[in-house]
Parts: sequence; C-alpha cells; structure tokens
Amino acid sequence: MKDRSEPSEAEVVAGCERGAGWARRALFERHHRAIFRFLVARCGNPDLAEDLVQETFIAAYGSISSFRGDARVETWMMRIALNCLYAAGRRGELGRRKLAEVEAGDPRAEWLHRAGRGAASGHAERDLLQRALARLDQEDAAVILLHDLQGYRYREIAETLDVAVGTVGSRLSRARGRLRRILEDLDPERQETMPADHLTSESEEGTEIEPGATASRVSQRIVWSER
Amino acid sequence: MNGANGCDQTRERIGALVDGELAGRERLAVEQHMDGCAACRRHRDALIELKARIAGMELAEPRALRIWQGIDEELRARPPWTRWVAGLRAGDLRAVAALLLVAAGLALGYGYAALRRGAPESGIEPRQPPPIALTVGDYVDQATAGTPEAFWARYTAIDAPPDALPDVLTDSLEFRPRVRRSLPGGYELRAVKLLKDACCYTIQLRYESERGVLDVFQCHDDHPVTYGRARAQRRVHAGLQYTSLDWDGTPLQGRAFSTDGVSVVLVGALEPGLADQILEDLGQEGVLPAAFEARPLPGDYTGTKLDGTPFAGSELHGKLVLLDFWAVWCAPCIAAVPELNRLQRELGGEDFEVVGFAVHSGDLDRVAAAARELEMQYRVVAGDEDVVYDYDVLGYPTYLLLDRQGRLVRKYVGALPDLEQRVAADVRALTAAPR
Repeated sequence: MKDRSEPSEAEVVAGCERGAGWARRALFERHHRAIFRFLVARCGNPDLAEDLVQETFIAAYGSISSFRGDARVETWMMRIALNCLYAAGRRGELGRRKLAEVEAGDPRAEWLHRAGRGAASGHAERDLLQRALARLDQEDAAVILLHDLQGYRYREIAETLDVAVGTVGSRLSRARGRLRRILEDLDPERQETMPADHLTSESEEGTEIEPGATASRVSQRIVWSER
Repeated sequence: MNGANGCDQTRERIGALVDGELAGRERLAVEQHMDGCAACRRHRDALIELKARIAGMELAEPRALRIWQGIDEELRARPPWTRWVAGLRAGDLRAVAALLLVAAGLALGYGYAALRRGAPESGIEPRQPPPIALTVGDYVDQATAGTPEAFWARYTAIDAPPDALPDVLTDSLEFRPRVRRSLPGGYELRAVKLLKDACCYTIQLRYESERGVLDVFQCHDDHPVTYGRARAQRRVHAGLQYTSLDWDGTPLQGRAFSTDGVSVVLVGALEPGLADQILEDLGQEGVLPAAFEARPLPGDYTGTKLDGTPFAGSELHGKLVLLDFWAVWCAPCIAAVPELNRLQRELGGEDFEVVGFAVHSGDLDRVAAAARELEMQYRVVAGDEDVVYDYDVLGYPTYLLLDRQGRLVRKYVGALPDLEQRVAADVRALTAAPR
C-alpha cells in the first residue's frame, strides 16, 4: 500500500476537474513552493512572486481540463507560471522596484536574519545573482533556473519550454556564458576566481537590457529599473 | 581536437557533461578533450561553481496560507457555473447546453434580483468565534492587553546556549527566538514538546513554579489556531490577533497574541485556586502525558449527525473505530481525506469504521457542506467540542483508534505521511486478534 498513501497525480487532476476542494488543495500543496522559488529567483520580489503563484494556480484550475497527461503536472504548471511571468513583464510589473527596495520591504529578510540563517553574505550573494539573472532575457534565465535551481532534466525543460531536447543544451550553455560575464561585470572582485574565458564567441550579443529596447524585446525580458 | 576550434565544439558538451546529460562515447570524448586542455577544465570548474551558486540561492519562503487565501477568494468570487463550464472539453456538446443554461440563468437571475431588490443581503456571515473569557489572573490579562513586543520584553533572555535546547527547537527557526528559560513569577521551563506537522505545528512549552503550571503554545503563522488542553484549563484559550482562513474562504477572527510570524496561546494557571486545581489534575506527572496506551476514555464521544439527529459513539461499539478529529479550516485534515476514504472503502464494514469528528467548525450546515465538497465517503458528525478536551486532543488532525469497547488503543497525531499504512496495519492486527 506504500504507493497509495496519497492520491496519485491523475486522481488529483481528476479531482480538480470536478472542482473538489481537497484536490485543489493537494495540487497547491505539491507545487506552490517550487513555483514560488522559481518566480522569486527570477523577479526578486517575494510579494510579486506570491501574486504570480496565485495567478498561476487560478489559471491552472481554470484550464485543468486541457491537461492531457502527456506531460507531468509539474512541468505543465511551470509552463503556466512562465506565461504569468511573461504577462507580468508585459504589464511592466517586474521593473518597478529595485531589488534593494524589495529587500528593505520584505519583513522575512529580517526574520531570516534574526533566525541566524540569512547572514549578510548570503543576502549579498542572492542579491548579486538576482541582479545578474534580471539582465538575462526570459528564456535564458528560465532555462538556468529550471535546471540549476529546480533540478529539472533537459527533457523536462524541453517539455516546459516547448522546445526540442537538443535545444536545451545549447540554450543552457549560451545562457550560462552570458550569466558568467554579467556576474564578472557586477562583481569584479570575484573575477579573479573565474577562469579567463577563452570562448570569446559568447560575447556576440550584449546582455544589457535597456528600458528603451524595442517592444518585442521588452516583452521577452525583465528590466530592472536602475534609478 | 584541442585548440580554440575544438574547444568551441566541446563547450556545449561540457555543460551537458556537468549536468549529467552526456553518456557513452560523447562523454568519453569530452573527458579526453579536457584531459589535454586546461582551459576547458577551468571552464568546467567555473560551470560547476556557477551551478552551485544558483542552487544555493537563499530565497524567501512562500507564505502558503496567504497565497491560498487569495486563490480561494478569487475562485469563490466567481459564479458557480464558471467552474462547470471550465471543466468542459472542447467540442463537448454540453458546452451548447451550458451556454443555453447560462443565458436562461442570467435572465432568471435578473428577474429574481429585481423581485428581491431591497431585501436584506443573504449569504454566509464570517464566522466569529465566541469571545474568549480570560479568567486566570492579572498576569495573563496584562499580557493580552499589551502589545506583543511589551509582552515578550517582560521575559528574560535565554540564559542557556541555544544548543542546550532540544533539537526540535533548533530545527524550527521560527520558534527559537521565542523560547525563554524562565518567566517572571519564578516560572521555569520544564518540558518542551513539538507537535510537528499537526495542523497547528505547535510547540508546547511547559513552565512550572510553586504557584502552578503555565503552558505556552506557539504556532507557526500559517496555522495560527490552537486550542488548549487539560480539563481545568479549558477556560483560558488566549489566541492571537490572527486572521486565518476557513475552508470556504471565510476569514476567521480571533483573539490571541501575535508576534511577527508566531502565534502564541497561553494556557495559564496563575490564579492560585486554578493552579491548585491544575496541579491536582496533572498529579505529580509534571510533564506531558505519555498517551497511546490502551485505556478507557472519559465518557462517550457525542455529536450531531449530518441529518440533524444525535450521535453517540456507543452506537459503534462492537467494531473498531478510527475517530478523526478534524476541522473545516485544517489543511492537513483535508489533505488526508482521500486516505481516509480508502481506509473506509477497503477495511470498513462490520469490523471497522472511519468517523470524521468535526470540531471547531461552525454549525452543522457548514460541516455538511464541507463533507460534501471534500467528498468524504465515511460517516461525518459535528462533534461536541468538550470531547476535544476530555480526550486530550492537542491539535488537528488527531486520529484515535478505538477498540470494540470504545477504548483508546492508538493515537496518531498530525499529518502523517504513512497514516494509511499505519492504521491499516493496526486495524488488521486488531481484527485478527481473538475477540
């Protein structure tokens, strides 16, 4: 009976289709944390990330009947989360606050600090990484976070982003190269520990995202407002 | 293959290698290339470091209850028919019927609303728990009257190193700053218990002094409702200024202490007469009772069936009963419903029955609606709440396994990942035993 200790994915999906409260809750309990972590890493704003998680689940409950079972629920949900993130980017919600302001306004930062877990160095590192990720375009950031933060395999990333598996590897390689260079720009002191990258072809495209970029580019990118 | 050109070709594969996505000859080729290329080895090391940095990002945790509250409010704000329509598959003929029904419903609704215009608005009022009477003495009264900061400022600092505290506390960051070795009035910390994964995710701190016993319950912010224990203490449910969420999205308002992120409930014994009574009740035990031994329970468990008729647990004598103490707002209780359904379906019958004993859940209609919506396929009753205290139930969910004479034989507390297996094993063992 071991594998029956909790409802299966199919049972939960079927329950959600019927609108069963336990199933909705079960879907939420299983996936909200992973989706939140992905979103907060990307947008750097816990409150906004929570709002986007909310949007994601409302959209998922509303379209659960379109889930065909050819993908895992997790990747299907993550795809919805990505769409919500893109929509927030188009609405301009992602660039309204600087990371520092978000940090200052997040009571949980102080809470973690007092709990002894959020040492200042940890915050600085997260801040740095989030600022660097924010300079990547959506797809580059997504592929890095899905793999390195969420632990997705290439196949799962392909499922989420609706691309070929072979594309994931090349996209990940390119995205990491860009991220490394951005990190070097943002944190020159750390540059010494990074190898001098002899793969100069990575610098073929600038990574700075200007607020004045064309609409189509902006729609695919998160722009931090560096006031 | 070494050289800049070879490195270009190998670069992407190094990433795949580091990601564990490369196998066989491809993997071998990349490894051979790196053996002879220091630059590519550095590239690999840099990738590994970058991956570790991303994986190790210290991110905020989601406030699950807040998010769920928003979702639930949004869903409930939608007309009921939208859920049904959303469930329709493309091309389904029912879509046509749905559109017709919607049109007809709108027309009827407008007509009905016009007829009722001016009538008082109906609907479920937010449930307001009855006011809690604090009767235990000045200390508690002062504490409840003051701000959380003032309340905690009265406590002395921890005078022992943190590692002297039980591991369960150091594992629980939220509670650690709240633990105090001693309280004003000579109260010293004597016992600690963590009800991990129970609905309330509660820590119970027991303080004792010559004057009596003081239990402090601390709850995680997400599950801020806790009820006290012990018969003599039941009058003193001090809660926080919390806002919790009922299963149907109704906000629950209550009175208690709140410090950021932690809810605190005091069950105190500071009034001399009451303290004597509690000491008498607790005997010389002085620590939390070790339950789980087969023993008679104090009185029957009674309530109201969903059809409105009275229920008495003695009706079920002759069979084993899993008595599920649950509440409509309790997420772990709700999550366990499918498991309980399976237990009832597979083991239920003349020898065994699951009883959902709803407490602190509002009126009978609310319990009945929850049972319907949550698809509970076993007997559900609205339980008399005195049973909670008489049976020493500390948090939800709590499951009691009762034998054929209604005696307690097992107690399962909290959201247990292996509840179904444990209950099934116990039931099978008991049913196999001679009567």
